[in-house]
Amino acid sequence: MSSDLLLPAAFLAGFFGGTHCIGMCGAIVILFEQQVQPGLRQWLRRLSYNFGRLGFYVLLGTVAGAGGAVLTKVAGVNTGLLILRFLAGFLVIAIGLNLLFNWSATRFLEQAGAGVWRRLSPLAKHVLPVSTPARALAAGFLWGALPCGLVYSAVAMAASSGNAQNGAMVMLAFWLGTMPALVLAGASAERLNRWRTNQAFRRFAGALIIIVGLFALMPMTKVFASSI
Amino acid sequence: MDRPADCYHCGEPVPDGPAIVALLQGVDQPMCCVGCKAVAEFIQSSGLTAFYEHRDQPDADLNLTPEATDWQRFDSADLLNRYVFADDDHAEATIDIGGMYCSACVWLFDNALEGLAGIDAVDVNPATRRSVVRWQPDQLQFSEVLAAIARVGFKPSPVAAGEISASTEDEYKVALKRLIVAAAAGMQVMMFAVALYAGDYFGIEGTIEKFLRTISLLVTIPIVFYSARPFFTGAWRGIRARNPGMDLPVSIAILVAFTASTYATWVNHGDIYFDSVAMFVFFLSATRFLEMRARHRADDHALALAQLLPDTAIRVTDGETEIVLLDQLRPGDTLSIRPGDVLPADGRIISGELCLDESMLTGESMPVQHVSSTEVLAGAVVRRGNAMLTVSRTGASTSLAEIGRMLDRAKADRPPIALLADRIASRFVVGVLAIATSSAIAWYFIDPARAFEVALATLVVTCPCALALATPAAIAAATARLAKSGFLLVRSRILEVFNLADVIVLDKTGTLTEGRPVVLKTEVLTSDAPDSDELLAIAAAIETASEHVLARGFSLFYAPGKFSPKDVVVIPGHGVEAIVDGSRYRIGAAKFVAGLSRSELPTTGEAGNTEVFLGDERKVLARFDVGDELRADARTAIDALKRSGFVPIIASGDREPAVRRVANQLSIDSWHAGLSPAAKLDLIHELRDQGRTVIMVGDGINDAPVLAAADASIALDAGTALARASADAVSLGRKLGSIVTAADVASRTRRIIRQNIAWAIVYNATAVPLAVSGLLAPWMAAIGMSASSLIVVVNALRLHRAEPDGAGNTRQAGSQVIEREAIS
Repeated sequence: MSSDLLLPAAFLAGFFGGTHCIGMCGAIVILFEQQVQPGLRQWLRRLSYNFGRLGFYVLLGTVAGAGGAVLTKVAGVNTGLLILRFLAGFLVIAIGLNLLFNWSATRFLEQAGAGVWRRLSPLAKHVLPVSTPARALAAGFLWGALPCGLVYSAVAMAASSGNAQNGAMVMLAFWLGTMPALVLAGASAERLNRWRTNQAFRRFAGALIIIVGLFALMPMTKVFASSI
Repeated sequence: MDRPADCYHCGEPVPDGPAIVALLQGVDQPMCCVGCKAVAEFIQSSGLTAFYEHRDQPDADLNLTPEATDWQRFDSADLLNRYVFADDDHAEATIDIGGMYCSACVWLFDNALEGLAGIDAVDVNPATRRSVVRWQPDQLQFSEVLAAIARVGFKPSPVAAGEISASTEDEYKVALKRLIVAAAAGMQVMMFAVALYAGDYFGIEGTIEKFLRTISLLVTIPIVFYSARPFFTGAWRGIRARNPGMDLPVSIAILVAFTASTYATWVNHGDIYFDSVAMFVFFLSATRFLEMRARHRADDHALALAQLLPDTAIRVTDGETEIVLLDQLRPGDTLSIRPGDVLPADGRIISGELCLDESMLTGESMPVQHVSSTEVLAGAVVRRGNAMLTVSRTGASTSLAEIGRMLDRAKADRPPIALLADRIASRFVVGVLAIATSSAIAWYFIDPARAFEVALATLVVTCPCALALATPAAIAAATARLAKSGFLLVRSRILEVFNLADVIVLDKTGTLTEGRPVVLKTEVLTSDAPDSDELLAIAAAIETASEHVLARGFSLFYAPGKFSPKDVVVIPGHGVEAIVDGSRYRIGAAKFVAGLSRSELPTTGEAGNTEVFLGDERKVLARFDVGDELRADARTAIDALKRSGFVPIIASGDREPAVRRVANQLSIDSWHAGLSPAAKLDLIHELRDQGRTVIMVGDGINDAPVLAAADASIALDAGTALARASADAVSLGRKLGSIVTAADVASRTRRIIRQNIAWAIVYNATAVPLAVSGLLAPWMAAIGMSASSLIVVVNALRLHRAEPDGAGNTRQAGSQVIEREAIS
């Protein structure tokens, strides 16, 4: 069905929501890099973190997609997808509202995620310092587990994608969307920070993300209409 | 809003609702979200809270170009002493110019600086990216010069003579990275291209084809936007300076091919040239990389010089020794020098003796013994001996620094032939664009399907890279080659003059001869006297008291401690009287010495030398013939120059007998004695009026106007007075052989430049018709063009090899060994 629309939606959510990543996760990059010699392999390390992160996202997406599939089996295709798609759309819109009105609508989810992170974070100490690409990969994987509303909204989209494979693809698209922001993270934080904390810019990004959310909801209106 | 603050971690506003806080180092800090809290707590648990202190500072280390205010630190006395050489009313500095790619950049650079009041001269060489700037320090600060360079978009880094330029290292690393990316990605693109070509023959499924084309596009992106970036930068500079260089057609070819292929991939129809783009960028980057290595190799001698100096010196003040940094040394300081040291500054030995390896300074491979009160130069390596030294010159004033500056000046100097090549290349670029456009139009009417491909191939294949590289590469290699053997080119035009010149005018004293008196012959005048060695030792011991110029001729025979003269009396104009081992001796003029024993005047020897007598109270004991000795290799050097077709002429201010004797010894037919400086000048003018091309060889100081009058000039063994030498080249050794080497290298350089230019012209003349007629695919053009440039660079590098024969050969081998020892 309309999982083809989900991919651009996930990408755009990552792209516009990613500005938050710079502030939050830029620190992670700098932290990782602090204890290693800069040099020729820096780009390799940065690539490895992000591929590690992709690994975790794809895992989440696969599980969510499979879970969504089970739900649709149980609840009936239309009803199940309807619920999931609305959930995803509202989550994306919540992220946008977060930026637009400075109101944290996804905190309850993040709190839940923080529980997961608390279990995983001790592992991070084993991969620091990031001296080899393999360690960078592992560090990136753990990084993916940081509690983040944006990621959860993407996971919700993955859940509504119909099957595990599509779920993984949605997360891949989301990951691609966050790449520009995260490649910049740690590069020239000073200028980015000014730009990122700028109210007008935040509102602009928030509005766009809400549009993306509506975009994700749109096909469902048809399903909704047809099911009524 | 009553929110206290923004998120402590990420700086974004804290949202409304129940507050999230993280306990960091005992303080509750506001957090915008659970994610930030998790990261902040993680940072704390990893013990890395220093992150928050560091991030508050602007990224000073990431911002590589300092702001204008930062340049002012270069006006501090320490840094000026390090980077700037100043005499009475001029200051001069060598500056590496980061981001300079082409002759257009030179134009931009010149314009930027020449607009400043107080700038005297700007020399830049795009090949070495090094400039030598002279300005008037009372009108202009060093920082203003640097700031002006930075303003037009270059990255200036001042080079202290004796310091590896950081931009050389950077440049090397970045170029290597770009090359590796081009190679790795290029290989992938080639693999996909092979698959696609195979698919054309054997059939390929549409989706797989589309997939392969899309992947090719993705892999080509880093090649175009990372590896090929220097070409775009160069092209843009060329356009800005309205003097398009060879980067322009290269950039157009890359961008046009890439854009067209991207479009073809998007619409899934039409040919793609990702493989050609990848190959073109890779091979061209490889050529540039090799050329850069060649340039850096030309720097090697200067770098080796730079690395010579130690970081610290041992200073002795009132009997207390302390280790000080070189920057803290001042003229007048006393230094303690031990075996194995490298002399940290120019100075005079006040006690002790040093056996010094000066091979890096003079090309002279044999260590040289220096006794008390002689001048020694920074950069010499102490082989044996201990000494105390009074510092006379430090930092940018040392001879070592001056040699470095000369090398820089030589590299920044572009001979007329190179300027001509630049101009031709620039016109050629316009021609290339015209040819490519017209072939595109022509083919549009012949076979529109092939028009694009043919135009692309033409654009690539006709790029005049080989032509533009032909001369600078050869001159850089020749300069490096000669510097290694102690022959410094100050103005590289001398390489051209060497090939035209037919007359070499040589000064005698200090040029053909050593320029200092030595005892040439000892004649014992009585049968019962001690042997000649004993007499020489006595004479030398007494002469240590004398300041007379002839007395220095005995210093070689002085054995400290063997004889200690007492009651020394110096009688100016006559000689010295002293008591040695209980006997009274006199040394000096015949009448004065004979007067002690009241004997008759002794006999005189052959003409041309000065005679010094030694006698005691009984009789006159010996006669010493003191004269200026020929340089050890004068004979072989003159013979070699004659064989090469030069006519040697001696022009000396010395007396006729002395000049005649030297001329006879060297078989030089044409000689002039007793010439005043004005008469020497007339001689040069006369020769030039006869249509001769004249090279003048002198000591560079006393005969500066004469040197300037000749077509080219060489200063020989200018020693500590290098800075005042006004010659086109300076030979640092104590041998004439380096002139022979220079003549040989000059002729080989001309040969190689001619070969390079001929090759570049033949290549373009063949390749253009082939490309225009559609016989070359773009990938063939890419290989052909890159290969032609590569050949030119590799050909120039041959100049580094020692010549098969010639006087300089064995010397060269010897000094290379010493150099390696000195560096390791």
